[in-house]
Amino acid sequence: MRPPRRQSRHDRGRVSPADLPELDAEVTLLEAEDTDVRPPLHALSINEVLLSGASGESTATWVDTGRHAQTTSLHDLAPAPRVLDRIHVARGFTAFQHHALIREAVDRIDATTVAVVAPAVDAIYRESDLSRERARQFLLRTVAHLARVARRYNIPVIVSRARDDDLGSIVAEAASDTLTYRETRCGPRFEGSDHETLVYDVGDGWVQTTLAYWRQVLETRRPLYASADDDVPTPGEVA
Amino acid sequence: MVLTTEFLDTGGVRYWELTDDGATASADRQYRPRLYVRADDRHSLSDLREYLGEHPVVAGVEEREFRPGWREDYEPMLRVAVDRLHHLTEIAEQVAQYGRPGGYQCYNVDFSREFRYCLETGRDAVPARELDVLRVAAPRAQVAGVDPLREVSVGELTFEGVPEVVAADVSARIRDRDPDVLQVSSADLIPRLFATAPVDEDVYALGRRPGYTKRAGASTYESYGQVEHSPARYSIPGRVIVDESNSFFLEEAGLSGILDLVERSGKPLQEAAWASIGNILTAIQIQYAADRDVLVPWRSWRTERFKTASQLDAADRGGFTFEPDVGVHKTVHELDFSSLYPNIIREHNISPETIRCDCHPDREDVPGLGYSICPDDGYLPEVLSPIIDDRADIKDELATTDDPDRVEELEARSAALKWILVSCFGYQGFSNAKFGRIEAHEAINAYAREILLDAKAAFEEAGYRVVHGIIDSIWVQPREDVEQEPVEAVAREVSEATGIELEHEGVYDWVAFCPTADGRDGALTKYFGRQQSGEYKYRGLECRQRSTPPWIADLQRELIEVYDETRETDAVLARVLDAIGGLRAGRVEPGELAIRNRVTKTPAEYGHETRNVAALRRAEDSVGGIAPGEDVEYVVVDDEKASRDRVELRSEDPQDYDTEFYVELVARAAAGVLGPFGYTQEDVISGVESTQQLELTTPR
Repeated sequence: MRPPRRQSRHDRGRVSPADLPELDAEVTLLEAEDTDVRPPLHALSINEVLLSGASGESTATWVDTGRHAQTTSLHDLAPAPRVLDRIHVARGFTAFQHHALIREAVDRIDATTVAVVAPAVDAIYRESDLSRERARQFLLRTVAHLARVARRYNIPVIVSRARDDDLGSIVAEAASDTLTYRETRCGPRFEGSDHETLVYDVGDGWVQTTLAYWRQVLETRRPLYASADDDVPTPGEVA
Repeated sequence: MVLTTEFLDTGGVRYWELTDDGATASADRQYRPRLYVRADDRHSLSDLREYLGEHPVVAGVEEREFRPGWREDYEPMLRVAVDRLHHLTEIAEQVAQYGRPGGYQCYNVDFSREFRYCLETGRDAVPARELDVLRVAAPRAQVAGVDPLREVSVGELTFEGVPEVVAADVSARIRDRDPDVLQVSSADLIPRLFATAPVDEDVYALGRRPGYTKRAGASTYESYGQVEHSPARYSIPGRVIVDESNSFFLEEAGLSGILDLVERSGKPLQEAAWASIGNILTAIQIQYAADRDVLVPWRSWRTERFKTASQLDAADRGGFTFEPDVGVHKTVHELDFSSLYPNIIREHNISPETIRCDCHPDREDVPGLGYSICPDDGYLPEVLSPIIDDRADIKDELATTDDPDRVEELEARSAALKWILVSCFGYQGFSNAKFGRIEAHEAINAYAREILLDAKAAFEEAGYRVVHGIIDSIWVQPREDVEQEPVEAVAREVSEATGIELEHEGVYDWVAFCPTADGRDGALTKYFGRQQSGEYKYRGLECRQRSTPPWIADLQRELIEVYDETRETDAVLARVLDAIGGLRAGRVEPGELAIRNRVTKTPAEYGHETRNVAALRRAEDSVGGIAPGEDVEYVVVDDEKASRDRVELRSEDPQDYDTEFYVELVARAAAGVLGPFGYTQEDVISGVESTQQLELTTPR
């Protein structure tokens, strides 16, 4: 994993950009300690799309599980609504559909695809009416497809898991790196195998991890998204 | 015609057909249940054919052409016949594991057995003559085995006395009457009678031959987030069993409603009687599919299409809602779109295979979502059309007929069809629906919003303000400062523009919209008022909830009448005070204070010692327990206690009640009525207390 891009934090009168870890072209498992993994997962995904290019240049493909990783907070996080046009979502409501969607996602990847996101990969297999052994075999094939995507197309694949059990460990084993998200006194922190990122200390000792917080994080990073100007209105613009 | 079937241990089926004065049995020994298999482009049918050809439970494998889906062409598939019914899933599981996931897909696997038999043999399940129905009932504790089975009524006769004799008499009476249908108070009465009978189970008869079969054990399951209970099911030879305690359609639509569904769904009567709404809707579609050589997937591999997060965001918005202002509004018209969702499906050709079709990728039909809809006819509108039209015809006939028997039959049939139509929208979004598709669900919703917003604009244009709206209904009030077009004229315009009839449901002299629980906003589904016809309407209030004790419900309705007559909240409060006085003086009949709840779990599964749990424990002692899915009725006698003495069952005929507990319920019911005037439950209680203080301190 590359070290995060450091920005000067000392410009007076101007908020310095928050730090988010940059993702390598491999399968990264995002884990959250004692908190909901979705807000940081969603923020990382949007960040990845905005960092990589302007509208028409970068998109993400997102395979959801319907109930587990609802995408509603994407809307609240997006610094500009049009970024939502660049995230392509489909939901698998059964293990069969989920597996088929992952296969389809592979076929959909094109020059604009900068990331594949698959939250709670294991969840729907655990709930299916399949025997545990068949569910394991099935999930194994699904994560193998995801690993192949990262390798063949050289793009990051972000996954999370619903539980840490035999099915959850299949997801963890397929990941090349695990990024652990933790809410510390100094603010939220991502820890990877070889480095740490303190996201953004709001400075009042209060760990803010609401959607509003993540929105603010993405907002402060706007200068980094310079190439995506057409997506991010300047303050005062409403449409 | 097939009245009922038995699947024989030796293979094949015995089926019963109605004759003029009874029924006859025929054996179909050649019958073998079938499933179908399709291979994807990575797999070959011939490999599998070889494997299945040698399989011990496979009776035959043939390669034939069928259609794997609505818009798909005929293609080669394997048709696999198996020896016995239970081999179907066994083979399907083996086939699914034979190749890579999704490589071999199975079709027509999970159908109910009698429906399957009719479908595969082309036999009709509609009774050719009127059915003879006989009711058999016994007290619950006797059915549950807490008490001996001493009293069973069969039609108009009741047999009492020694259990063995009662069981023998019941069998003899049924044999003499020879009914086609046994309507039982509870399905558990069947095994209870067999166990009590003085002869062996293979000799004793309630059917047209001896013996009975257990078709399914009792189970509790979760559906749409609600705990549902599925009771045990039994069948007997030659007669249909209809379980009064557990037939959704019997309760909602009666036997004539169910018979209508038999005709539409192809499900024989017994299976139609115990079916859920979704189950009937699926059967209707399966039949329609089978007529066109379209097979039914076992596991749904079809995925939704990728869409942008903004489309998903738009699609996730719920139906149209327009939050009302809390308080009383005068002269309010209510207008409803009739069968909005089914009509949208028909009007806009929404069907799983027409939404986002491959052939017209550039069309942008669905408002707000931009999905294409294929202009070629979809199957769902075709399936629903006759149901929509028949229901409209039934409503027309109801409007003109006076014959009470005919009215009853028409209402039953209308109710059955209503439920099918109501469910077709939700079904599209249900992940396990055989023919559902989430995009169809989203499109229906998007059109519904658009239609309601258009209707709102039309009324505003015509001099009205919209005071409330939800899903398929809109409430408007004439503005004082301008002239209006007549409501009916506006409704007609909207109906013509949308192609869906907007009906003028009625005019309220006054309607009161209640606040949400936190008191901050107008609740969408909580209001009451009086229509110009003189009829009171209540929605979302305690008096409409089935758990509310009858005395509390009556009181609440009375409070609304008091308000209607006086238009004074003080008068309402005075009546509340009066009611509390009666309660404290012990003037209320305890039975009228019974709370009725549906049981969702066994006592052990509840986490807390609730009143429900206390009641269930008492029921275990007195009537052999109450199963999930059934009702429990009890009066709270001492709410301070945590044990089973906290309540008494209504069937125990309680003589007392916990006064303060019920005073609380009165305050809650009163707050329901006074909510639109800014009162909370605490306001009601403190209002009552201060009045009592006043009465105590003020000399008369």
